[in-house]
Amino acid sequence: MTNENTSKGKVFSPSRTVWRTQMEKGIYTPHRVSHITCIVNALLSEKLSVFLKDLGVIVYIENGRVEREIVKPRPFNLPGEISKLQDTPVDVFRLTVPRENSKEVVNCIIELTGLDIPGRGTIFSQDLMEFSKEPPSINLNFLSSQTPKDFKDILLNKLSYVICVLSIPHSSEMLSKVALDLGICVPFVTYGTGNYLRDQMGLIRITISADKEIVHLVMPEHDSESIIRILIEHGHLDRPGMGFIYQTPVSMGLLDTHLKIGSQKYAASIEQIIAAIDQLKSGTSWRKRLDTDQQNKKAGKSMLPQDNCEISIISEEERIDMLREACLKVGATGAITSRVTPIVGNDEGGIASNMIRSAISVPANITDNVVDKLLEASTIKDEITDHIHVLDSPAAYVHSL
Amino acid sequence: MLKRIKVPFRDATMMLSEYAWTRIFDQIKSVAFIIIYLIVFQTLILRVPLANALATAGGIALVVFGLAFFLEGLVLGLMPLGERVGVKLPTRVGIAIIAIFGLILGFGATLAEPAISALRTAGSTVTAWDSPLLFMLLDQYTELLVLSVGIGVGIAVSLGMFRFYFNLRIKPFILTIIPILLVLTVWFSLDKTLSALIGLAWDCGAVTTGAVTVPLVLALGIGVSRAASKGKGTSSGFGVVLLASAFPVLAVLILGLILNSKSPDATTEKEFFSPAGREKALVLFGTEEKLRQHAFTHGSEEGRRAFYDDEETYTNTLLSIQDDENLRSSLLGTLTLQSWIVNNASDSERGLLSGVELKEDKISSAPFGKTIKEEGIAGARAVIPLSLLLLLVLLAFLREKLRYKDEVALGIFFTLIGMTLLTSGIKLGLASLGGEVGAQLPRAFASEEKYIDRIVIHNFDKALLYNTIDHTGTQKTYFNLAEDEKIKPVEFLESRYDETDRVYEHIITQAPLFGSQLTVLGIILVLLFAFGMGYGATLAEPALNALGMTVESITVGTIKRKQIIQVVSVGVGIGILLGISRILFDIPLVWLIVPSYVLLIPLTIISDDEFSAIAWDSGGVTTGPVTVPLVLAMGLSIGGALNISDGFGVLALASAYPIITVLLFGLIAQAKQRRSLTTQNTEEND
Repeated sequence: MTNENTSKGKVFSPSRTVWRTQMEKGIYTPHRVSHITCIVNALLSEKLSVFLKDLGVIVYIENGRVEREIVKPRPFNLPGEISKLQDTPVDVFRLTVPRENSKEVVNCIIELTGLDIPGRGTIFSQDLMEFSKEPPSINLNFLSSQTPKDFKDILLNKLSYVICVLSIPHSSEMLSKVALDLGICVPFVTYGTGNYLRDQMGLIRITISADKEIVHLVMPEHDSESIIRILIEHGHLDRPGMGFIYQTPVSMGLLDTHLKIGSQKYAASIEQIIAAIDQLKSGTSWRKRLDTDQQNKKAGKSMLPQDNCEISIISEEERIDMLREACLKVGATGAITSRVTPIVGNDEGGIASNMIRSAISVPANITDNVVDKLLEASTIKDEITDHIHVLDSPAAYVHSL
Repeated sequence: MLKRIKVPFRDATMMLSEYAWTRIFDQIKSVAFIIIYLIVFQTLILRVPLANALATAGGIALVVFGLAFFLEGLVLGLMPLGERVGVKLPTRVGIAIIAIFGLILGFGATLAEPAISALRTAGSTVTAWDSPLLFMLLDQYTELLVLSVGIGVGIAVSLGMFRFYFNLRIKPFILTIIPILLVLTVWFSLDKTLSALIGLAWDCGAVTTGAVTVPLVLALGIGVSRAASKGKGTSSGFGVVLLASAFPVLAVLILGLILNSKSPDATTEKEFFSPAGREKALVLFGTEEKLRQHAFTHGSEEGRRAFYDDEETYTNTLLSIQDDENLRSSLLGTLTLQSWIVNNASDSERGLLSGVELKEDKISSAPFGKTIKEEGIAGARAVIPLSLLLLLVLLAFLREKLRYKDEVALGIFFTLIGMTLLTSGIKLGLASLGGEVGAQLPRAFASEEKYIDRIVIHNFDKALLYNTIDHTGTQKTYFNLAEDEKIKPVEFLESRYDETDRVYEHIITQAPLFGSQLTVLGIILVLLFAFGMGYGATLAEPALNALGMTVESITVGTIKRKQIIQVVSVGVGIGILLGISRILFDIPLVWLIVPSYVLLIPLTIISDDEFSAIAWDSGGVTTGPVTVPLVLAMGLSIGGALNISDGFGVLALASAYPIITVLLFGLIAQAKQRRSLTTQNTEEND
């Protein structure tokens, strides 16, 4: 299974290998799904939750915050401006739907929450492979009763979803500022824990915090490598123990362009102008401004991108340790876990709220083994809420010890 | 099995040094304000040099290290342990067992961290004739008081677990319990005997939930909340601390109601100590010796004369105080004769004792080793039983393994070390510094000179006298007094010279800080000082730090730890300012407490659920080991100067106002969040 939107057209796709292996085995059937991630202002969560429940999908919600830059004139008419970051609480909704319904669902969500208005949030969809008890179901009657507008003019493709995992507390603000200054997107931040390095170090591990800050960025694919290098430089991610960064492809998305809050000097804001040009040019390729080759030359060999695969596991807290150990046995390390709250269809109760989402960036050459071991150890045949997602990650920058 | 990374010694040393330095530096920043504030106030405004500067500096260093160890211990050991128990309990047992566990934990935590000792210090100025029920509760029924507070906290923790298990909202609890407390408080205020209990009851609520219990209960609550709630679960474990502050108030008020029938009525001092009132007085004291001691340590000359009812016995007793050591300890208890003369004796009693030369009382300051030992035992009592209880439940009852055993063990050890160093440092350094400043504060608003000490000069030679004249032509007579290798001119007053024995009594007094005309300025200064001290002390509170870390984690950094700490500190400052003004102007506590909590009710109704729980919990976590000694020292000093016997209520107000400030902060944050939903253009035009 290749990822249609990878601009480099890689021949080897680890997820395709996994697909082939599992189909041959015939024990676990992978499903081709669209994984939708929607980041909305916390005040809109209730509305969206009700809609998604009626839609009959399993949704996982995680708390987060978005960072925007607030620019104010200096007091007492002094020259210049003051700029600082403003945090806004958001909820990150993650759901999987059949691929054929993904566009319609995305349109419904955009219309319901007003995501076409800057400042409301971001939504994007990724095509991936899912292992679960049942293929994702959807209440088609309910979906067909919705008549959303078609937002094809503003939905972008050829995007990349970049995830930066940072080990130093409060370093997410610095990286978010870099992203905002580069005009990439509105970064959203979540918290997670990662213990791989710590677990190998004995009691000296207390000097390294298990808590990680995860900065999520969605950006045009053609600039992603250059921007990643800039982020690595600013976040010192080329040093051991500072964190790592990887990207996964996005099939379509609508980005929040409200990067700055402040005084507007002209009839249209820069974000409105950019959005209008994106529409005219039917994409974001016109925005390319960084020379990838130069960046690569400067970086040298120390942080070459690795061909990886992102494997996400969602399970109950009690089982997640066992699943992670299964991954460790075959050499998959560096899982980042975060807490998510599930909402299941119209089911009002019976589902534990202590679900854990564990994301691992795995080298391509061991992806097949890892998924195999995970499936053996998992309970996805029994539990409706357990999922394993496999998605190619063509560029991962991980400093190994 | 993971391969073990061998970290070279040099790298490990660097990692450890950086780790230790960041934590110590954080604590230096948190205590810096209060230390500098107290020193500047003492030396520059009150113009009194620091006594025992070296000991104070040592104590402050202990506070910094203690805070660093304590907080790190919480993060490594107690909080993960509490959270693990909280997560596992609902998966294995039903709500009944969880509730019983909560009851045992809350009750045990109160006995382990008895903040009642702090309240006994606050109650040391309570007079038996003015507030007999209050005195009886603090003196005779202390154990019952601690038990009732413990039961209150136990029920609160139990109820908190119940709330998380069934995912009940916090607002119905607040809107039920608080009005009940307010109604009871108003009812108590209508009865002269019962009204004295109001301050104690509300202060009990403020001081329970100590530095160890709060983070533990928070972590436990988060764990239970995550594991137990079905469907749309909440990740918030807040709300238990609020209950653990409210239920002790109710428990103490109920205890007061029960014991009210046993207590004699309030009466005048003279009636209380007179033979006619002896029978009723002995209900409170048991023996005449204890009653007599109360007359000397708490009463005035009127009370003492009433006790003896015979001038000769009274005079002889006074004159025998110096020479009869047994009599002295029987009459004065732990007070020295010197301090009794300065603080308790009337002018005529001082006059009686003027011919008596005082032998130097040996006042020994608490030795360093003894303090460390005592605080170590108290710290062990606070930390070890709670940790053992959690470990027992986790390992034996729930049969769960601890993932990072060595980290948890290290964390508990750090908490123990930290608690010992922190409380020792507070006793040796911070509290003594606060006490010095507190003792000088009444000068700010005094309009008359205050008697400080006297020196009896024998073989006084009038030939040493010399005359001076001022610009108005007034002549005065002086002599030079050599003291500590310095020569000081002292005004000679004929009334103090005994011609027969050639003895001169030099009375040392302290002038008001701003002169007799500027008491209003002095009062403003005291109130501003109270605000600053409350603000600064709260910045250093470890339980508040733990709450702040939890809030930042739960809200994914939307609300920063520092923001919460600042907002709460401002609230505490306002609360302490009002508490001190209550003492200064003798305002009944009910006039301050009831309106504060009445204001909180509509604020709570319009606030977000999660924020309401955070706000009400923040009221419970203030008034900890850093704030309480400082506030008490200040309150006792001011109360003593004004002869106000009831020093309670300051801590209760210091707990109420942070709730207001945090709720207001939450409302502003909510409003900002709503504004961020509007389109770009609507919020920008200046």
